[in-house]
Amino acid sequence: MEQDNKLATFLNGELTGPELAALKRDPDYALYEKIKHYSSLLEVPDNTDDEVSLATVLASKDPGRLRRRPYRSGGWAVAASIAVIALIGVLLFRSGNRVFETAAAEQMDVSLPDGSEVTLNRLSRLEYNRWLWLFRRKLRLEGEAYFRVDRGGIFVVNTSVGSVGVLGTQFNVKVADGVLETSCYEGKVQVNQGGKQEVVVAGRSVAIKDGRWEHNRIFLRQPVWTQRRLDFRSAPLADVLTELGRVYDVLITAQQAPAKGTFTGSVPADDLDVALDIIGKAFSMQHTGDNGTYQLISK
Amino acid sequence: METCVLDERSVCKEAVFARFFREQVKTLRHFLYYRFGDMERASDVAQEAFAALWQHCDKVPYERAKPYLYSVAYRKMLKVKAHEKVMLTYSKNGNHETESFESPQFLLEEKQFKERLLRAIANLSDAQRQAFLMHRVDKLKYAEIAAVLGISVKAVEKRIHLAMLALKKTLTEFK
Repeated sequence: MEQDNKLATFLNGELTGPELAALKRDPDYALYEKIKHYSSLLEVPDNTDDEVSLATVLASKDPGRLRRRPYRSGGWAVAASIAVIALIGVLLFRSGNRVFETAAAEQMDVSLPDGSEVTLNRLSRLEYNRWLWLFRRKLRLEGEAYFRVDRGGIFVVNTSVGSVGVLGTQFNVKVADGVLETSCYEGKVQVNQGGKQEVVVAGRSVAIKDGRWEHNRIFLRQPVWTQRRLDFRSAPLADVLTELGRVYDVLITAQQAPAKGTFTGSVPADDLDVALDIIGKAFSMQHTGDNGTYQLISK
Repeated sequence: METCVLDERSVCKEAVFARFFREQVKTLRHFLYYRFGDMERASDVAQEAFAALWQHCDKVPYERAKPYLYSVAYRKMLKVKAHEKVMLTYSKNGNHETESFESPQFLLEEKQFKERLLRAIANLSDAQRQAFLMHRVDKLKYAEIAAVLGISVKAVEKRIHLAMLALKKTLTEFK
């Protein structure tokens, strides 16, 4: 029997002296050695990020699950009544599920049971259970949302990449293509991913991509995308154009700008043409240009 | 006292689970890959198996976690019909010495041998390839392979032995 699997024992390096000597007389011995040597150099092309996978697994558990205990004294009646109670429980639990989804050109304001507010950006999904909410402020996000959280117990946003926890603050969470980006506008938030935790303070943001943490500063008071309109109060033309340029990420210049005059009013933050039209009318100017560079010219 | 010890190692504890995950995930993924040849799929199924363990952690004692994991993964993988050829590469580190000292002829022969060996391994039977690669690539002991495959150590040795014979037969021109 031993003799039968001698090549396995050879590969293992556990052949005894005489056994090895016998094998060395085999005309195929050199080839066996070659196979043994080169097969030990083999590798699997494997780029899977285990930490991201672990975070996904840890986040996969349904938070509503209660730990089950084995029920010892049996009986059908007991089992049946437990089943009925469980069914009612499940139905009741599911009736508490709240889901909000936005389409491609849609934003949505959501009020949570504790008075906290969420603005959901386009193509996003927010889910929570109002019964569980009584015990723990916990919700699930796909896409992007801006949170204004009232003070209270811990508030947790779960995503496919990691989770973000806070205590009364304003922050933005964006999860797309496996990247989790958290920006804090007020207070502090804690970001958790793959066993690593970090506190992000106001004015900072952190993006997690493939387990790498990138830190950035933020200068706005709230995410640009939540401001569908821009308000100005007695603003000179130069200030208006700077602000518009920042929001739309374009360059806007003025020729022969009027020395005097200010603008008070609001313009859309999602339609540059209309915005320039309104500003132009206010200062008696015309606008031209496209592809990121615009000009205002006096009529 | 004993219950304390068991509790310490409950897979429901995030730290215990994470450690177990990091120890096992790569070997599990490769185990699936050797048999089915689709890394993306292997990676997904390995993750699903861990999710199942995490979901049912209160029912699986620590000692049973590994067999549980492998049987769940294996059953999930069986549902996948498609079967691709297993692709492997050679470690870069292992070649340094030969590259600088050996003749061009030797290097050419070596290159040919390595390519043929890859093809020969891809053409092994699924069971033989799996056992062979778990030993050669992941450096598992025969007893460990036996444990995750749910077969005896003797059976593993048999598979490896037959794999060696099959490889020898296809590579006989390199003798």
